[in-house]
Amino acid sequence: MKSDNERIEEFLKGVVLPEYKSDGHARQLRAQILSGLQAHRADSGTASWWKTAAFLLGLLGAAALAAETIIQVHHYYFYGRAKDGFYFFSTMPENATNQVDSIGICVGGDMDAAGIEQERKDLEEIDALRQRNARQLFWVSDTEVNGKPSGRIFFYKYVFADGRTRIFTETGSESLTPAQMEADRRQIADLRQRGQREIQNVVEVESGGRIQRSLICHYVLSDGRGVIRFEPDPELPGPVHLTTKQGMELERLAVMEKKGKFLGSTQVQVLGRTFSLQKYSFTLSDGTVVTRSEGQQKCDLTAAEADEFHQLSAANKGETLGTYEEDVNGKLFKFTRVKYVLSDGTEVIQSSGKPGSER
Amino acid sequence: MSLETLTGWAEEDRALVSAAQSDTAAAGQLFDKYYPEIFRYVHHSTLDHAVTEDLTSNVFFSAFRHLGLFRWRRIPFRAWLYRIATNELRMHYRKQKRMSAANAGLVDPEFPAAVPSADTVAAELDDYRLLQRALLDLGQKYRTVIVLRYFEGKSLSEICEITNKREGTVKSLLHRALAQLKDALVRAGLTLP
Repeated sequence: MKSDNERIEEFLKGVVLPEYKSDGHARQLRAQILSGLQAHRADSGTASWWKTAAFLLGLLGAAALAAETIIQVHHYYFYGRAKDGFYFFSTMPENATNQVDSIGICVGGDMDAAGIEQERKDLEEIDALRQRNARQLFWVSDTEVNGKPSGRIFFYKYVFADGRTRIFTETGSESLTPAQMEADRRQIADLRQRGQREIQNVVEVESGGRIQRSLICHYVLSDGRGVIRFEPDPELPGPVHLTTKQGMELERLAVMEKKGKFLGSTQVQVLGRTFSLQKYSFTLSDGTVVTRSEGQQKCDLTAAEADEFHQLSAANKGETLGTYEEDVNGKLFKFTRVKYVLSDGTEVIQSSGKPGSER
Repeated sequence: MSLETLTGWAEEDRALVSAAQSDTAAAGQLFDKYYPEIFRYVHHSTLDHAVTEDLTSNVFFSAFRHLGLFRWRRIPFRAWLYRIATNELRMHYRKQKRMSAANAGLVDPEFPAAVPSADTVAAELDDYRLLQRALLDLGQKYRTVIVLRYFEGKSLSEICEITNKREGTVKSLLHRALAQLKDALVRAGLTLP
């Protein structure tokens, strides 16, 4: 006679299981995962090109530089695919004739024309959800290099109207609601006044006998976020007279396609610090010749350092410095701080936080 | 499944995981290989399509974010993924506490449409629904071993790897899970074979 367990086992083995699948979700998640991996790798490099592109496209085009960006996203445009495989989208209309506040987003993965259009629409929907703060923050990560914060990364989950979900990593002001942006603007203005910013990059654009120097500044806000602002150098504010279209073409050639003619290196003093600039010449499609120089100070990890850091992290070869709890957007997150020392002595501290009470 | 096949899979996974850390195409391959079964496992455990999508996203997002940690876990990649999924399920149920009987009776709205309406199939579907309802009455640790063993066809050693428990513990859990499941099914009106 069979035991109860044998009988229940027999029943279980006889049950026909339905096949579950979700192709749409699989495709979306796949793209998101791969995009995230690419973004993470790119973000590990020195001065990821898209950070610069995103800001420059929004600010350089109309000749006059604004002190900082305000992000009001309504419509995204696709601008092309860079050499490193990223698809670049921006809210900056190509035919804009005035200064337009904008945002640039880079997305990895492989997309055909339909995929690109879908991505563009998704970015618009994400923006709309973000404006309403209709999203879930479920992970926060901080990284410090030699004691300097690289900026907090927020991992948000968005749910589209058609039910698809998408995880989006956001770093600075692009992740904010309008109210948060206004609060940031005030705080950044205060930090700037007190000189509490780090100049990461210096960009000089020269055309028609005028030079315009811009500074890419890194601010650390009170909640730990690292924010990058593109600001004019008060000592050399320009303006260089380029139209929006010319400015965008310049950035596309310089940052995305790297098609300039190298003219050499120059050194400039900016607020008491020496920057070594690499100077390139570009000829725009209308024949205008523009030179563009850019140089930076070390703040992020180089690609090789990032690789070494990831290996140490993967091998758990870090020193746990402790844990702490912090309120992030009204939710309590528990962070663990881990220090890694690279072979060249560079110290990297990574703090990762998960929601404390629920996920 | 033969040991040779398992070893082959493990080797392939090792190569894929290693490549996926620097190569997006390999990462895509790894995702394609495991998405369907992790999705199915989570779905069998929750019977909720939206929750399944959410939890499966969390599983893969977490796995790929920590891909570099995998080789130090000393378990096959597949088991590691299942472990993450099991943990996600545990967190989900902790949050949900206990699903109401009403919810337990509800199945995925997409599910019935995907099933032909023949009487035999309807009977099988009834068995499955009944089983799911009974499973949702079980504690999460019992439900996990039942789903892994009888829905996912995992061996005892694989369940040990996934749940990080000794074989004796898994056997004991299975034994108690089956006993509890039997009671739940009988309460629900099922006549056992």
